[in-house]
Amino acid sequence: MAQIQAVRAAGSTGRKRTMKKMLERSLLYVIIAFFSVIFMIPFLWMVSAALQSDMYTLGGQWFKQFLWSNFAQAFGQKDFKFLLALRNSAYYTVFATLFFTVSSVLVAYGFSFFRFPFRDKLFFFLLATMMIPSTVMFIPNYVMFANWQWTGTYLPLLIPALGGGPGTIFLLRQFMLTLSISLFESAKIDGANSLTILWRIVLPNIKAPLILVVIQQVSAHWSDFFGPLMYVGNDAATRTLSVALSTFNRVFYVQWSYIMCIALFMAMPPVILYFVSQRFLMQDFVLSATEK
Amino acid sequence: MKWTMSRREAVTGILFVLPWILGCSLFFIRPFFMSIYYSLTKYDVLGSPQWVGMKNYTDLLWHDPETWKAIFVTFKFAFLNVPATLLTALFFAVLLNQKVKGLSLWRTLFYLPAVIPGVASAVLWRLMFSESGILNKALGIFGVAPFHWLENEATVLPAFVIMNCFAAGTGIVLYLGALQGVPTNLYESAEIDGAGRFVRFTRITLPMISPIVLFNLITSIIANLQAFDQAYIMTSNNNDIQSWGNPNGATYFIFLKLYKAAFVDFQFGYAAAISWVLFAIIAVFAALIFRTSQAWVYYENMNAKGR
Repeated sequence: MAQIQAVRAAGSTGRKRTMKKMLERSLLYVIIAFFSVIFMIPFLWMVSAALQSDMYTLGGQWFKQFLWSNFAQAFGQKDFKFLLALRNSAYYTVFATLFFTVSSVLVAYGFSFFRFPFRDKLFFFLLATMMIPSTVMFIPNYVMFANWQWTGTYLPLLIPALGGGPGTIFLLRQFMLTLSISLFESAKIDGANSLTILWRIVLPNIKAPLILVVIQQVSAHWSDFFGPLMYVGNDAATRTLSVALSTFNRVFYVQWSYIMCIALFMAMPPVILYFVSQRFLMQDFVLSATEK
Repeated sequence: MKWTMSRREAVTGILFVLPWILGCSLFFIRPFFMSIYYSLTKYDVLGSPQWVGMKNYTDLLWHDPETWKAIFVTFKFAFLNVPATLLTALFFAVLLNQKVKGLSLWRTLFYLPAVIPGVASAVLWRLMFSESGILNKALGIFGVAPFHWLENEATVLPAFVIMNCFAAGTGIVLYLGALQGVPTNLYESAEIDGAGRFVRFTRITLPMISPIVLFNLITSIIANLQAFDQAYIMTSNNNDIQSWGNPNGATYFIFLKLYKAAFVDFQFGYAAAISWVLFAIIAVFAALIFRTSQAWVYYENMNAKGR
């Protein structure tokens, strides 16, 4: 009799426990869902403001209209010169990413697989440059580019990209060093030259971090505001989308729906890149990066 | 034979790292020293620099009424923004690390606001913080009268902080990765020893992810002391110099002052001096945090080796 009661008591505490656990779990989901909605509100507000007339937006209402023609009108504004700005942004993004990635790969390769005098000291210096914020460089750099008459063009943004970036070089080198050196040595004995080895053996084995670097670079240059503002400036023929947008949200006849159409358009490439790259960006990469 | 091989190897290696050597000397080492020189001169780019000694620094620190206000405002922003964004990111990372179902969906929802380009999000939030914006609408439920967040000295920095917390997704993903790297057997044995949830969090989770927290803390302090974009786009009208850093100088950050000195007043020597003061401030903070980090950052590898 006592035994049965004990079993029953155990059963009911067990049930209580699972009840408590279930309650906790559902509360957790409610909290997460609530905050994820909160996090998405600005984005939804942007979509809504792009698609309705400003009257509703400024009245604090959303999703009252779906005027898809707003996009065409926003892109067709005469003084904004959307197509030119888009072309400039695309030009800057593509070439800066290309230059930066290619030279970072080459430099990382040089530091990983070749022995030369002062190599480790040089690499240590490269790491040290990462610690110094670029604040103090930018006035002399600007002066130099101004003296070379490069301001107003994209050269001050593209040419330095040819030097690669210390952070990226460091990252790629870390991955290159995990490759077995024997593969490299045997290819060398077979008479393959260094560039062939880089192309055929090294690059296929570091695809994931390489894709990550490209994605980071594309997003960074596409969103870059300070660089284009400072070096290229606010001329309608040469400015990027980001600079044009920052100018137009200040004009006295500001049309919020047009501004939001262009902001939404600017947000799209990073969002798409995120979905394309999700599996590279998240599991493997963040995990392995934090383990190191 | 062997000697020629290694010599060839050395030449090839140097050729591969040459782009960085050139880029670094031209765009890093050279400007680093030129910046020291410029900061000791009066220079408007058109003429040649004229030596003035320490005048720029003494002017900046003792005679320029804007300087200390700018430093104060920058500190205030960093002290509000760094902890707020760090805690937001940590909070949601811990929440998402509770073995929730559909993790990739939730992660996407929290991460997406962070990929919106800065300018796009700045113009968006300028609209949201306006009198008829959604924030005032939400507060209106509690009977708060609408006001313009960006035109009010007391609310403009909190407004920036709110905006940055919405972009905490990068931090969330970073911390989530770190949290998932914590070995589960640690938690299991702690649970058997009777450690409660809070103890497990403070004694296991926090120490295990502290190197990532340190990394994020340092990079965000450096970034926040150089804050510029938000103030330039949201509270400075570039058609009206007087309005820069509005309202009433509450967002007149050091970097905004630097930009103005160079590109509005064409005082490049003075701007270089500002950049060195900013550099010194950043260095002091980074050093302070590194110093204290020995007390609160836990490196597993070092203990494992019995150091």
